[in-house]
Amino acid sequence: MPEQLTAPRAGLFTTDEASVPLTGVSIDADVSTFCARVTVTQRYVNSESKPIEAVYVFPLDEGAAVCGFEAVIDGTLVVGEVKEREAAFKMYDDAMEQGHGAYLLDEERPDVFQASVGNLPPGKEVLLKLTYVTELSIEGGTIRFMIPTTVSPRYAPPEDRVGVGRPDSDTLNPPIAWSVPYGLTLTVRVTTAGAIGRIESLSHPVSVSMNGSAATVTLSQRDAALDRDFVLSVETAGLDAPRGWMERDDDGTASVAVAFVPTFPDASAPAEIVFLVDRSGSMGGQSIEEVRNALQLCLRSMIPGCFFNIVGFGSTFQPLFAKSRAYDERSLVEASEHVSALAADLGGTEILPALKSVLDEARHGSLPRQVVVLTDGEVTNTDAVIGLAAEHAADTRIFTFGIGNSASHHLVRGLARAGRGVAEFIHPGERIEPKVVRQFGRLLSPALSRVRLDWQGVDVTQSPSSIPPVFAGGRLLVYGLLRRLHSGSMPVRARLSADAPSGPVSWEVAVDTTTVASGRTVATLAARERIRELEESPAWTQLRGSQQSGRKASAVTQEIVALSTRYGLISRETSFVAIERRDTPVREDIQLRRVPIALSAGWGGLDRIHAVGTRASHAAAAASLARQAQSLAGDTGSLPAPSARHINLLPTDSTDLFGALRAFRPRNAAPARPSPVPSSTPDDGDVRRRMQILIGLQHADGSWDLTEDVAEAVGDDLEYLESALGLRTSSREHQNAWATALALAWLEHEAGQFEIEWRLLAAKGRYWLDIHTAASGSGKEWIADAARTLKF
Amino acid sequence: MPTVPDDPRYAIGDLADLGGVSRRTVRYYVQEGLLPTPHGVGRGNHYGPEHLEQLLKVKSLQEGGRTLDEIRRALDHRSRVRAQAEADAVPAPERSVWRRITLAPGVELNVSGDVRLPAPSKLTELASWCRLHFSTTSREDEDA
Repeated sequence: MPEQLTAPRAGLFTTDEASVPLTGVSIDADVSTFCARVTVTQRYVNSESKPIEAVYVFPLDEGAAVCGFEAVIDGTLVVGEVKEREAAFKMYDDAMEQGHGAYLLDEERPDVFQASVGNLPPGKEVLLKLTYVTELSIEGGTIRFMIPTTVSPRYAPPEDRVGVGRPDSDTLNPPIAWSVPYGLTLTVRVTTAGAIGRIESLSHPVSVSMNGSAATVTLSQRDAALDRDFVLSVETAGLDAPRGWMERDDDGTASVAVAFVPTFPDASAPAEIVFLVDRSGSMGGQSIEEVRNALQLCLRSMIPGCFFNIVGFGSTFQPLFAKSRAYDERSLVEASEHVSALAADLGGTEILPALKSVLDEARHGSLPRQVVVLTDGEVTNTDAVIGLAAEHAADTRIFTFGIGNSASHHLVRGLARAGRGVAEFIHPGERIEPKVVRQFGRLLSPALSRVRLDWQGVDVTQSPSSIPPVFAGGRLLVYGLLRRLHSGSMPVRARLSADAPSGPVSWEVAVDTTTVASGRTVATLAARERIRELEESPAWTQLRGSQQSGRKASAVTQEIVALSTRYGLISRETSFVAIERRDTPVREDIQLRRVPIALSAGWGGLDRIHAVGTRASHAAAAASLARQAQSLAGDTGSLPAPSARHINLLPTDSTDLFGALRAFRPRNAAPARPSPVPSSTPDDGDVRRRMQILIGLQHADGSWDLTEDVAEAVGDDLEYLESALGLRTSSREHQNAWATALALAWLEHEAGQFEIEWRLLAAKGRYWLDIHTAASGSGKEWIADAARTLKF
Repeated sequence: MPTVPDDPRYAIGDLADLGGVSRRTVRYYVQEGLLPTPHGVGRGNHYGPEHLEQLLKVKSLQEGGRTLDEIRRALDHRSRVRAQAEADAVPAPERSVWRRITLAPGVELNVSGDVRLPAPSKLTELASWCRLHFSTTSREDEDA
């Protein structure tokens, strides 16, 4: 078996339906502009003849503030309370010992939870309901709402397989099955401030009913498989406006949230960029394909003056170059060839030593160093990895791409947070280009310095206490907890200011205090944010090493427990426990039943089937998977060619570009003619194809050669252009300057709708053109002339 | 916690405290077959001296960096050796093994493998005495 599967109990097995007490999961969510409130209901039935203890390990959104836990049994509602983790277990354990019913919810990682249903008598059914609130992320003009549904097998490095008590390798690797006899039903209600433009799910077929600024989304299929993240994107107006929300709690305290969407002029500056690429077995199949595509685009988005390297990791790590190399035609060609041949062939996921070696390396001169991590994040040692990134935050920023159907959001987001960068997720079937370009825009732009937030007219406890880095176009959410809100107070003003390369910048949000809603959603999110900050602090992560007797309550632990119990939300130090007192205690041997979870779709390249749907189609998919697993087990070196075609439920035009990128060739290589461009009336598809060809033909320095391919892509033939521009006898450099001007003119006039994708490439081209045309007018004039030649 | 005098049993909390592990860990060891199931009906409510012995062994092996699979194998081997030794009627104390019993936070008792442990009631009595008389710095002091 591949190395990932050697962790205890992470092996695959077929399930005996009778022994799986979980019979269904239903999720109900309310999504607004700023946050979502989600209720997850798990239904357990004991169809055996003895009492059981059911244990289910499942994922939640890594930002989830779980603030409610209830059990419904025999029509009785039992409400859970937050207790210190061990105290909660003691209550649970005592209740079971006494024959009562007991329900426990533990947070193993911010994105992995464990529910325990203790002492469920034969024939009984119980509903566990947990409620959480979570911030929503914004990408462009789109709200992205994500619900993870399965925990992928996680690689445990040797240090996570030892230590007193239950090792992390075991806690985070529940039993995995090819198919599980329970499914998902889902309803999402969306209400936004502005009108909703478009709602779509990248992951599942859905039915949507819309009504202005409200919509309801349900899964088209009943009992969908819990084997991939549910991803919903909602296009709505007004997301870029700074906003504030305020709530008053029953006890007179209040909480405020302010959202900034700062924009400032884009400036690109060279950097040293190290790509850290996950090549472990779990990345096989579509994930490594996505990595190759994203990397090809990354390579072309760098600018002259950059230094770069590519480090692949698995059980070992392999840098492409001994040291970071200057970005030029030669290194680009070498890197591009290296990337085309990248495979998920390096075994386990030893991300910690790989990251450490990159961070320990001396920086290249005075260039800022940016590390770009591409991974599914499926490891158990997330705390150690995030802790390492935090230690080096002063000299290296870290940007991450989460790859695949169920990447660990905690690792991918946590690593970027600790490294003062940003995380982007690439789900299968999703367009990669805008994400890569957006990410590059951030990592090439000089960071704002001296970022500070001033609260005016009010005394608040701010959360997080230190302001995260600010990037143009991203949403920055900051919370404040107020001890008391006096009626008729002045509006609360929050002013964010910083120094940009172009000078000081500032943004302001004012929150009206005259009409304040009552509630504690904002307070809960504020507390969650503070707990997260504490749980990612070195003081806490270092404490994690000593879990048992030697562990003392530190000030950090005490603050986490205090916040958690005060606001009634779970943390790594606290759990929810609910006790159902029984008049007639059930005192018999209790059978432990660990609920198996479904293997993530596409994990390790094992599945290219969208196995959402009926049990029958799921079973067929499972049979196909089993065959592939057998062949994988026999040969860990190379993955089998997928036998089933990817059933295309989703828009997947993202792959076309990469055909063009792969056709990329060095300046002196024999020409490989790109596929012919149809000369019909240009539509989006045609424009896209031409654009992709142009991108594939651009050189590292930003220029284009005057060739037939370039001429064809801009819609004319070479002979016409040469004669129109009088280029037959001119120098090669002169010809290339015209080719560059033509390509840029074409992009500006014909491919405006895709600007987000070619923005960085064009900036590089203009820069090259400015230098090479300095003797005869500006680059801008050349582009204008080129546009006239192309009759725009 | 008052313990009935001469009670030959440990409650799960006492066992966890003396072993210096959490209650979760005790349950986990039982689920994993690293500790024998407790005595009594239902979830079981008491443990004997043999449970403490075994718990201390498993814990020290885990502290020594062994994985649970390795420990399972080691314990299997040991029980085979012991069965053989008993059959041969040769006393085979495990000389180099020391047991570390946690009496109170920061207070441990080291007992050689060939010294018999006192009865559970005596040991828990000693532990509660230690908890009373070896107090750690109070939290208020730490915060100040």
